[in-house]
This record gives sequence, C-alpha cells and structure tokens, in this order.
Amino acid sequence: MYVATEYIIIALPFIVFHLYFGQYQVALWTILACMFLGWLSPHIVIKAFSANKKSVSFLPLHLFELKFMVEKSPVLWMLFWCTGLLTIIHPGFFIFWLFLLALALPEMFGPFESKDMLHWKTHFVRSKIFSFIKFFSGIIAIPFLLGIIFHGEMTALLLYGVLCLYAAIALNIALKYHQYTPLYPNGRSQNISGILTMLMLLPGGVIITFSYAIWKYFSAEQNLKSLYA
Amino acid sequence: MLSIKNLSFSFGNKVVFDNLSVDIPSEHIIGIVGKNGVGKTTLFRIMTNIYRIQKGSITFHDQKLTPGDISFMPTEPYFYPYMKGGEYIRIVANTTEEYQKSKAYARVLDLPLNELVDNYSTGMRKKLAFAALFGQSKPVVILDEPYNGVDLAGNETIQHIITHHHDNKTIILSSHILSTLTDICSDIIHFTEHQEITHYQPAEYPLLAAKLTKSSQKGWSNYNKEAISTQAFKKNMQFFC
Repeated sequence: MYVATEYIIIALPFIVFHLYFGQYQVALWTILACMFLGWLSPHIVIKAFSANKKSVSFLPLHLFELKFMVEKSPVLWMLFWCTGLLTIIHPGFFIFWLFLLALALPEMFGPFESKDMLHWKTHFVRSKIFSFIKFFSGIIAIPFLLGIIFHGEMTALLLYGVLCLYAAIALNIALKYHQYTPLYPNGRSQNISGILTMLMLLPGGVIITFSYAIWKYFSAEQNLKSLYA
Repeated sequence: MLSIKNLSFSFGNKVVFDNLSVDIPSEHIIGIVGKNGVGKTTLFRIMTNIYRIQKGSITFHDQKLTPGDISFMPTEPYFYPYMKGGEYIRIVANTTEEYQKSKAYARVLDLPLNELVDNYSTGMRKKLAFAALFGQSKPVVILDEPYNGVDLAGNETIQHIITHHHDNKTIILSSHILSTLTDICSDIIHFTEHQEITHYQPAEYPLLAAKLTKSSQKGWSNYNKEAISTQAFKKNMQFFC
C-alpha cells in the first residue's frame, strides 16, 4: 500500500492534468496502474535480498551468470519476456526488446567467478559464447517467429536484430574474460560494452561491435590460457 | 616430490624471492609458517599461476606443476553474487563423486547449503570454500590460512577432515596459529624475511615453537615501550581531551 501511494504521488501531476481536461478514464487507469505496480514491487525487490531464493530450474547452472541474474527478480524477467510478444503489433517492438536485452548483458557479465568455479578447457571462451547464444536463441525464438509470421516483409530487419544480440553476447563474454583475474570479484566498469551496443542501432554498427568482440576474444582466450594452462 | 627450484619473483623493485629452492614431500600434510609479508601467499599465487614465474621452475613428480593439479583456497575467498551454497559446491565439483564428497563435508561443517552465500558469515564462507575445494580430487591442495575467522568447532572439524580424508593428496596449508599445524602436519616449513627456509619434523616442533616465541619477544623488545608508557599515554590523551 505504501509503495502504491508513493507511485500515485509521483504520477499525481499526470493524473491532475487528465482530470482537469475531463479525461477521467485515463486518470483512473493511471491510478489502477500505480496500485498494480505497488502490489508487484515487493515481489520483485524483496526476493533479491532474502536469505533464500527460489531456483529457476529451466535455467542450467552452467549459465550461472544468466541464472543468478534472473533469479534475483524472476517476476520482472517474466514480464520483460512477455513484452517481447508485442512484436505481433509492430516489428519495432522486437528490435527495442532485443536492445534492452543487450543492455542487460554488461551487468550480467560484470562479476567474476572465483578461480575454482571456472573449469577451463581449450577454447573455453568460444564454448561459453556458443552456449549462451544457443540459450538466448531459445529465449527470443517465440517473439522472433511472431515477427516473421506477422511482419514477413521485415524478416531482414528482424535477423539484423538477432545478429546484434549475438554480437553483444560475444562482446560481453570476451570482455569479461579479457579482464578476468582470480584476485578480484569484479572487473572494471565496461562502458565500452554499452557504447558498442548502442552503436549497433546505427546501420552496419554491428560490424564494428563484432570486430571489437573478435579482437577481445583472442585476448580473452590468451588471458585464461596463461592462468590455467 | 613438489620441487621449487631457483624461484625468483619481485614486485617492481621489491624482491620477494631470490633463487628460492624448496622441496615439499608429496602425499603429506605440510604446514607453512612465517611472519606477515614473508611471501607465503605470493608463493601460493605463483604455484597456482595467478602470478607468473619470473625465474625458476616448479615441478610435481618431475613434471611441470599446472593449475589443473591444484585446488587452491585463498585467505579471503570471494563468491559469485546471488548464489546458494549448494550451487557453489555443484559448480566447483568436476564429477558427481566430488560433488557428493563436498556436500558431505559441508554437512559436517554445518553449512546451510540452501541459503545465499551473500548472507554467510566470514567463517561460513571459509568453511564453504574448504568443503568445495577439499572435495575435488586434484593431487595438490593449497589452503591459505584456512582457520582464519572459523569458530573453534569448525577448526576442529576442518582439522579432522584434513587428517582423515586427505586421500594421499599433497596438502599445503599456512597458519599463524602453530598448534593448528603441529596437530596435523608431518612437516612444517618455516619461512623468514631473510628467505631462510627450515624444515621441522614433528619431534622438532617444540624447537620451532620456541624459535617463534623468541622471534616475537624480540619484536616486542624492539617496540618503543615509551610510546605506551603511562606518562606518554596520559600526555597523548591530553592532546585529544
């Protein structure tokens, strides 16, 4: 109730504006939306700080970066995934949705696992990139198929969006292991990752991001080799 | 035999090891003692490739020692955020057998594996890292101050696990509490700041204890007792009051 009141107070100028112009229905929907979010917020926030957590079993443990991030706020992630279904309305929703997903990646791959958690083998980084790409392909499959079914003429654009996501995955994993050291739990802030993700919004930007990811990929493999081989 | 030969290592101008050579008998529990800063942790980090060897070699059974041979527990283990204790053990284990072993150790150490590691105390984190790493079947186990922050019962349990479940692995552990080493180690290596290395067998442990006590007394006598004498203390306090 407290959070709902807070949201209503924040939205008050908007509500008053619509009441003033006689748009009572919009004002009512805004208040109801604030109340709904107020009810939802504790379910999203409190879970992230509780002593226990409910495991999301369909996420495999070897993709722990994704698993632990989703488990922090599963409701939020579920809602986020559902918004991908808006691709039915317009393919732009899919592109925007992929872009938001790509922007979550630097946080996902920010913390370093301890040395014992990393089971190194030859081409470790490559295997990791492919397993994440495989899993993310599953996550985006339904919105992507909806995009093709309802907006077949935009298939090339949809595919470009998917390619951008793959490039972002490769970039973030490569950057993580390029910086990786077992001495510290966190890497430096990866501003470059955010910049290169945004660059992909420009036509052909993916080429720059992908080239940078490949460069860092070799450096990452070398870094791990020096630590584990 | 784990052999360190002519090892040299420095941080810039600060020389940590200069032609250090030491043989560590394999399949035994070996203790390492020495003052803060003599290079115990640095040596462990060199052995595990965290720091690269600048000169010299480290071999295990006449083969180059690789990080894949070693389970290493650092002084302050860190954990991935939002992970449960049980999940950590599962990720660290290479096989089902290792997982079962680690889980059993964790149970004996009274760890709540279903809770987030973020909410563990320092001692619990230490015990978790120990349980996960000791369950691995790598031939060399390095434990850097495993008893720090662990309660008395936990210390005893860890000692018991090391003594009775080491499965002929080479265990190297450092500690600042001599009794935790003398109880379980078959050999203790004493490092000094002058890079003198002395091996002590169980019969010589009282000698080592006496040497360490003498060393600390020497340190104490060098301490400027004037600084904490009653008069000086009062004078200093006047400054603050």
